[in-house]
Amino acid sequence: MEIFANLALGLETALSPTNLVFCFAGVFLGTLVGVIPGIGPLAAISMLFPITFHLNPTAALIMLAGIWYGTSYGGSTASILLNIPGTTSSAITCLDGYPLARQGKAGVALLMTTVASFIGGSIGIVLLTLFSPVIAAYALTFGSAEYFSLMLLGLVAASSISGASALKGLAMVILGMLIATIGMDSQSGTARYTFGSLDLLDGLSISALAMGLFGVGEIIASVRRITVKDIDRKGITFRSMLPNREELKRSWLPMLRGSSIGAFFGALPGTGPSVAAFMSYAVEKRVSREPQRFGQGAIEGVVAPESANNAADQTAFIPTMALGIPGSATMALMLGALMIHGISPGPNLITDQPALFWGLVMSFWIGNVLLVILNLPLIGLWVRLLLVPYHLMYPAILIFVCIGAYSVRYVVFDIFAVMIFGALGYAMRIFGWPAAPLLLGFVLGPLVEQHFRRAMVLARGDFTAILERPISGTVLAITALLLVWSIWSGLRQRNGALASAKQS
Amino acid sequence: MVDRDFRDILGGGLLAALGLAAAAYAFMHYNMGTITRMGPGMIPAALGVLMALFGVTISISGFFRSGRFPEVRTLTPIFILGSIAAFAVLVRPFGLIPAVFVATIVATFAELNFRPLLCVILGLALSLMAYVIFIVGLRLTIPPFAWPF
Amino acid sequence: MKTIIAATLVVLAAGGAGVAQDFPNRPVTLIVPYGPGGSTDLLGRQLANELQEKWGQPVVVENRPGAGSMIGTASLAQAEPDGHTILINTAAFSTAPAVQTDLPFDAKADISPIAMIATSPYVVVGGAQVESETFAEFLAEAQARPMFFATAGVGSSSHFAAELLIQQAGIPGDVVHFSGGGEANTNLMGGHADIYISTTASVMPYVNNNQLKALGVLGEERFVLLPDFESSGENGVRGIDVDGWIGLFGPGGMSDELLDRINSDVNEVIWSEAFQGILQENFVIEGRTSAPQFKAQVEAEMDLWVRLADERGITGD
Repeated sequence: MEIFANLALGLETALSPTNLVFCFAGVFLGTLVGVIPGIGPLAAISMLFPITFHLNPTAALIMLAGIWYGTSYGGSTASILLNIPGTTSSAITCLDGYPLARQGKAGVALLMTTVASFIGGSIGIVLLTLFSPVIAAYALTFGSAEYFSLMLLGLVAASSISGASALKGLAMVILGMLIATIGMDSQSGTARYTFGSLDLLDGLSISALAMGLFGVGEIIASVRRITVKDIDRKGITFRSMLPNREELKRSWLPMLRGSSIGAFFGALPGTGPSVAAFMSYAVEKRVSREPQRFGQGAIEGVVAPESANNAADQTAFIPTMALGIPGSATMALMLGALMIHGISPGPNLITDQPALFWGLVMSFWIGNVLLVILNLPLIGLWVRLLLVPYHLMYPAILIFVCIGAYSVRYVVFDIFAVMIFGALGYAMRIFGWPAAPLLLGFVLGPLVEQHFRRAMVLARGDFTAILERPISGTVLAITALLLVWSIWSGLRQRNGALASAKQS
Repeated sequence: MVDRDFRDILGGGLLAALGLAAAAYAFMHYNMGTITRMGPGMIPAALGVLMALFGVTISISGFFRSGRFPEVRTLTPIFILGSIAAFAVLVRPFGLIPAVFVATIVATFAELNFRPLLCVILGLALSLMAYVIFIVGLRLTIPPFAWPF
Repeated sequence: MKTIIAATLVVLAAGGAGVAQDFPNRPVTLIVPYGPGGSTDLLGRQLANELQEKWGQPVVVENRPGAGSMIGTASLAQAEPDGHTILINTAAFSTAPAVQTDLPFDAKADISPIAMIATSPYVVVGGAQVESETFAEFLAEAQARPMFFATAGVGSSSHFAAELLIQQAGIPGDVVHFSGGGEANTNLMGGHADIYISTTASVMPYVNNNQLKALGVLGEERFVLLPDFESSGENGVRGIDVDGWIGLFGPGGMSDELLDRINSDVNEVIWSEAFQGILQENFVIEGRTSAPQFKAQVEAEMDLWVRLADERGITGD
């Protein structure tokens, strides 16, 4: 069996002392930047990129990759404890993670996200090992028509992502899409809604949006309200971190579903961990028998997106390594690390550089195990953070948010953007507008628009040509069914909803 | 009059106004293009109109429902947002540490319970923390101190 | 940030713009107007290494991506013209202003072209749906079946090269804009678009892996490094005389002696072994122009692209 020989070669490479050290350095740094809001994997990897000049390519790649998937482990921590997304891919984890923390279940939530991350990561690695070339070839058949249909399905599926009314949810998806149109239009080069500002030409950054809406909005609403007493001190014993039987039973299916969804979107160029996390949350809420629990601290709403983003982290390497096609800016950096060492990426990479490829794959296992070991004892430490009085905590959070926003590209405007979105976030709380659909619209909006316009050019203006393509046609049909079903079930529940609205 | 959901009436109205403004601006300034080759104005205009429709629906539904307008804080948001603004204004001319210090002080005002000593200690502690984590640890290229004159 | 403040201080202390003799007297910033990891970035980092050795001052690479390289270029326009802030850019420098008409700087007056680092012709590559193997077959196939020309984005050099070929060869064709060269290449492989015209650095890895096929190069003559590729000129397509390039730029108003000084330093370091290795990997040859020659070429191209944008109805709105 050739695969065992390859895996053995990979394990040998990954276990060499140098590579082990760089693997550890990568996942450690990844966890650290993941916990710090604002600084995501792209920023961290860009900062460390010059170091890779002086390393051998395998060690360099192992370290950069460690940062990449390590941030997803760390990213959920800030989401759960502070309602501030540590990375954008864990923004959705705020929705149920933060309520769990407020109920004194921060330990359980953190433990379960670590488990979910490991399971998602493992499934991703298995797919990467077994099917890289097949999946990569399949991903190529996805054109703009297919992307458009998938993104539309995501928007419709997620329109009821929050607990608020579907009407408000949809309105916020659209507001998010509108905010995302700010900047240079990719199809015509026109500057839209920039009012002559060069800072707006590249659009608003998702980290500024997420930190403002969730983090700053939360601080404004919480100052002088939250006291340490709110948190159960018992929450930090190791025993209390263990999930109970009920929570475990609720979690395992969402983890598997989340991993599959994550693996799929990770392998598609142009989407990635963030889209994967959003989609899996939307799916969980759809399939749940008690969707009203979501947003109130449902464990499914935490484990599904966290397994999805970690699975996506691993499968993102499929097109990158098997075809030489980076699906995101971060993956482009990975390829760049190879290219400065004279290794040209492409379909021959796996056969030409077996030690590098299989060494990298095996280092993912080592890295994921290291991350679990690294994160489990830290859970108690992180939870203890909640015992810091809020009047000392929130200025620190604000400072981290400001520095995080500024450090992305050293533009002062980005800090003001956080401020504006903080104000918007607070206004949205007042009006009862849900923040998650807005963030989703912001992420998917540009993809929907860009692929739709491009698909129409490629179809020469004939929308039926998009419907006739097997994949996009099927997905659009599912989307239409889902839309009809949501409206119908929405109407059916309307009377009940009206009654409960009166009480609130 | 009291028995109306003014939160949704006002909120929906705001959304409608925002949507209409966005659509109108797109119509006036951007090319709509054709169905085959849509211009930059097409999607924003469509989104604006759609949002206005949703806004109107939300607003109208508020008239047929009772509701309570939530408490709106004024001073707290001003100090929190002011703290971010202070950081933004100071970080470039004066460097990281002064920006962190002043932003911390402004942020503590949001407590509406002024404790000068605590305030200064917290400011110094956070300045040190920011320096250690971001400049020593992560090696961000923000100067700790600068002088604009 | 730090360097900008330091720059202001040093300029104030010196009482005027930097002089060629004492250049460089402090760290130099090399702006790369693209994200890290791309071919321009890698070339820029190697150049920074070489110049750092030559000058004995740190040369720091700063990535300022966005708006088809115009964000980084705009920040160069605001820098002091003392040579301590320089920028590496591709032919996007000459194409982007033809589409982005509301730039906050004048691309001719506020930027000084210093040296062409490397150059290569544009390569025409075909995707999965293209049956032709040669340039002549491609011209016939494109006449019979209107093709989709992928670009790396509006106003990118691949966009203008495609428009130029469509115009000069008189073939029907539609441009489709993708987000970057990577996406354009992927869509060619999947057969969603047909033709992509870009620099050797962008397409040759895929051609060498047999993922895409090269149909020819744009220009009158064949290219020395790729002698097997037919040229558009030998197939009777006239009026295409543009090559892709990577060049070094400074802010507008640099003194002639400073321009000459940096130009000759660049023309010296590009012959180092490491640098030549990178050039060969990317299938490009070194630039070999003086600062005034490079300036004349860049400005001629800018005029060409503005004229083409006008004729083909390419506008920013």
